[in-house]
Amino acid sequence: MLPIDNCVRALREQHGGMTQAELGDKVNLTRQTIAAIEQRRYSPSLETAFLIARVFGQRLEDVFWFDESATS
Amino acid sequence: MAFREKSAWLMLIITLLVGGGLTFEVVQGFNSTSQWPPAVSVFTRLTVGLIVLSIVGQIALALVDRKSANRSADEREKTIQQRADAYSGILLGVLIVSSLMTYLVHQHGDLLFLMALLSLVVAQAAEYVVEIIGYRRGY
Repeated sequence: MLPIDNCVRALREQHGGMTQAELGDKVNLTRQTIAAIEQRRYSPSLETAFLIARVFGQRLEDVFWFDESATS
Repeated sequence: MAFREKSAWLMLIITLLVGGGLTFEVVQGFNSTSQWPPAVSVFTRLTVGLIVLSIVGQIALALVDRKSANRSADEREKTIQQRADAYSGILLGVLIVSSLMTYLVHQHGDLLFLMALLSLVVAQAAEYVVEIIGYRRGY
C-alpha cells in the first residue's frame, strides 16, 4: 500500500451513493483509477486530489493524508 | 478491467501469435534448409498480419465498450504507458546492439535484418507486458 491514505470511498457513499464511475467522470479519471486510489494502490496527482476534494466540498487534507505507519 | 488494459492484452496476444509464429517458421526453415528465408517476405507477412489483426481486434474492442474507447488516457494510464515505453526502448536498444554484434561475427545481412525485426517484436511484446503489470499492480 502507498503511504497516502484517503476517505474517498466513505465520501462517495455519503454523497448519495456516488459510484466510482460517476466520480471518475467528474475528475476525468477512469473507474479503475478511482478504485486504485481507494485501495491505496495509486496516489493521484496534486491537481486531481484537489479536484476530488472539491467534488465532495471538502478540504484536501480532510480527504487525503499521510499515513506514517505505512512508511515504517 | 480498464479498456487500455484489455487493449494491451489483445495486442500482446496478437504480437505473440504473429511474431512468434513467424519466428518459429523462420527457424524451422533454417533448420531444414540451412538458409535464411527472404527478408522481404518475412517483413511483409509480419507487418500485414499485425496490422490486419490489430485493426480487427481494436474495432471489436471498441464496439464492445464505445464510451471507454473514445476516452483519452487518464493520468494513471499515461504514467503506466510512459513506463512501458521506457522499458521497451531500453530492451530494443539492447537487442539491436546484440543484432549488430551478431552481424560483426557472421557478416550475414539477412540474419541482421531478421534479428532486428525480431528485436522490434520482442520489444513491443515487452511493452505490452509492462503495461499489463502496471494495470494489475495499480500504478
